[in-house]
Amino acid sequence: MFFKKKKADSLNSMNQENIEEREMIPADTEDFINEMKKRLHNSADLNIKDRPNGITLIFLDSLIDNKMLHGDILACLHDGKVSPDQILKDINVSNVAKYPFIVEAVDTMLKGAVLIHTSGHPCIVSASIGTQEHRSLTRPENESQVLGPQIAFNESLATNISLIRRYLTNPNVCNESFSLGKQTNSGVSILYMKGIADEEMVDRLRERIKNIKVDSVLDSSTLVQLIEDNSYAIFPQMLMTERPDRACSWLLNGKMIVLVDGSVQVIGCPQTFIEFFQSMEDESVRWQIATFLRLMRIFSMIVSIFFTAIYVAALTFHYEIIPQTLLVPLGESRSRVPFPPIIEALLLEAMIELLREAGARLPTKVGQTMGIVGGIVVGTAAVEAGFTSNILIIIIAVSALASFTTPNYMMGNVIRVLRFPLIILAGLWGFYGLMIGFCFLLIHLIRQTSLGTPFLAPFYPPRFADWRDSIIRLPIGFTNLRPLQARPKDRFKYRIRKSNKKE
Amino acid sequence: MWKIVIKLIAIILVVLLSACADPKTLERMGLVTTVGYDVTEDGEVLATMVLLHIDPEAPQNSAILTAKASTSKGARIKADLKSPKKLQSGQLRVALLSEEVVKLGLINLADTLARDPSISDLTYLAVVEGSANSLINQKNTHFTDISQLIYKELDQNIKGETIPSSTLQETMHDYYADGIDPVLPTIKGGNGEIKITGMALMNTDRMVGKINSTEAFFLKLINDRYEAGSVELIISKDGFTIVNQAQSPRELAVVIDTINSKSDIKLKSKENLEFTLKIKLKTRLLEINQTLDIKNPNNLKLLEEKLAEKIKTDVEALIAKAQEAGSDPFGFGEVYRKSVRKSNLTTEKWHKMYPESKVNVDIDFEILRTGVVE
Repeated sequence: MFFKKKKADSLNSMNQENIEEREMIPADTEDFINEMKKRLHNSADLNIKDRPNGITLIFLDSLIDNKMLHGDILACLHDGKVSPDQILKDINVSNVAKYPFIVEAVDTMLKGAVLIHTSGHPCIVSASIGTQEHRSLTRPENESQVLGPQIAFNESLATNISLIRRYLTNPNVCNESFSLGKQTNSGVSILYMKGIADEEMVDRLRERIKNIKVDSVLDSSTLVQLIEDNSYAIFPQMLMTERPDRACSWLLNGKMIVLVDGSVQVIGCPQTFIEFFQSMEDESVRWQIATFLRLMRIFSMIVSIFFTAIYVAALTFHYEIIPQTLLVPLGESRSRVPFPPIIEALLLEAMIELLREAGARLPTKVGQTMGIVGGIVVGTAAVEAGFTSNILIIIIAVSALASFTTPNYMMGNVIRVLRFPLIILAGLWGFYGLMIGFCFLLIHLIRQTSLGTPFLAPFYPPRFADWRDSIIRLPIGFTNLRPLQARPKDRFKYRIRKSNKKE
Repeated sequence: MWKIVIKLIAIILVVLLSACADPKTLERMGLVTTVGYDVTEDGEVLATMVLLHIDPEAPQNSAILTAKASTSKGARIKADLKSPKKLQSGQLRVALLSEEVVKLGLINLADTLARDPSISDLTYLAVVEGSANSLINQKNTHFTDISQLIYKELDQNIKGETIPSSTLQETMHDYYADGIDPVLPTIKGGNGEIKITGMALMNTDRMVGKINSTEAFFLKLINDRYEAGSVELIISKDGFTIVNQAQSPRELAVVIDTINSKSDIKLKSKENLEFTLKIKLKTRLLEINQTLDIKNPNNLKLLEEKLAEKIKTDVEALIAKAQEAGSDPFGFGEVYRKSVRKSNLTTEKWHKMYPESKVNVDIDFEILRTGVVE
């Protein structure tokens, strides 16, 4: 109740503002210039250029391409009396439009257009000659792999879309664009394949994006938190990638992708939990190897979450389960440690987290030294000083290592954090606590949805056909069905019989 | 919003107020790895416990505690008074029972062990010839930890198929099952070593006789539960053509290793209480103490026949011995119980019927391989 009322109020005020702001462009040159100056608060880079025949050009120095201004605009404007329609015809730029409202004029100018005002006409002609400031395409840093294309998205929305269009030369690739953020007006695009993607799901995503009322969208990683099903959950429900090939494979499976101007990562949805543990390279290698790698990633996730907690539980409560050969070395190294196992484990885990965080924020050169000092010097000294047992060092190191095998950075972070509550539960109640924690996690995962579809598919609900490409990957001939997760309109990627003819 | 806050507070309260479970931190526990039970003259239990002593500076990593009380748990409580660490039996590997204890009946002690959830069901039980206390306390120079020695010796021989397995679970099962009696290995100390001498035959839970390790092999052969290992058999050399006949010993000793054995007990007639025991043996020849030409098929055939005959007499002798002692470790009673409708067989009933039963032994013996010398 409390919230609803507030929302309604703010909507109203917004609408009123919009009506007030939709002012016509003044016909008089002087008035127009003053109005523009007022709107942009006398910005220093606002350039106003008067031509003798009543034409005025207004643009932002910092946004436009000077070469184009001279070659394609100034050179084309004739002397003598001209009308906006004449200018529209004369200008050699492809993106030209006529606007009657001042708001629109300001908008286009801020996106890199030059405004051409002719005195006596209550409208302006805008021509887009903005520069595209972006770095060149590089190799993917976060999702690097040996096989497959070595190209990553960059910060420009146009470049990113062009990358995808180059992979999918298909008129069915639909692009819907929005602008988000009250202050930033960032460009956001939804891409999907018509004829494969489920229209209802596209509607759902479109609604979610339209309904966002925020100040700013600076990166897709903030947008994804706004359009996710459950923003409180610890697990991310939508995947992000910087690889165009991966984004295209999503599109081809009937999923949607969301691109945000100024961000390298592209959001894909709907996704399943298991997809966070898959990598594009799994498609490139042989199916046996892909299956091995996927199983290993799942195993290492389990190791990473539970290994330390099992150590704590076993040493604190369940000495029965320790193998007899391990009892003596374990007992000997433990007998010099002054803390109970839970404190010991938390201390060491915290140390590893410190190392990792320090290493991530430091320049690469210093980072290496950090690793050596932290890992080797501190680790050895801690054991020798009787601060921790050496077996725990191994366990913590292995579980830290295992958490890096997750191909997705977001999921890696989740796994890293999840360890701590489980260690505490194991330290308080042993395996009972561990089981409570595990059940809690499982229930939490089962309850999650990704764009309204079950997050734990194809395991819950069980969709056996989709198991072929889940934690295992069957040979390429078997994976001819699109996963049901995105409810694709066309279930078949290809027919096996037709494609199996090899002559 | 408030709902979430209240839920969160409730969860935190549950965690904080319930406190933690009773911790049993590894290094603060005295882990009993072997326990030996004797009976004293005044009828009390004398428990001897071997503790795993975890201390890097200590010369020996085991310690021995002895305590006397009316019950086994009572003895542990008394032993706690002598120990710097709380005694826990979760790492118990072997429970030794002296012959006297087993003659009185082992079920009280075995039941106590089985009742304790922290004790593994795979704990080995063994009967000590003589006193368990002196076996554990004996001086040995080869091994620092006597409990490790006993456990590994039993484990190795059971896994290596030399003697039948006798874990707590199997003993309890055989005790409660009508128509089969448990068997336990017997061990004997002395001269700084510990030797497995054979098996103890039991009548329900009381020891009534002993068999040696060769007989234990036949017991395994009859009991389909196990795979039989290798055995040395001695047969007469009549009929064989042997090189250097004059100098060789008078009897032929053959070592065979079973590759595959299968036994089948069937009730032939319930009125006469007659069983047929069919044993199928596929073996390989490991060693013969005399030069016998085994490339000759006649020789090999004769050898097979003679060995089958030998096994048959040995098995019959073993069954007769067990019947005389009143112990049925083979499970004939179980066969009877499942073959006869509405038999209402109980252990007592079976023990009365058992000595009168007759067993026809039928051996199907085959030597598959004779080695690579060929």
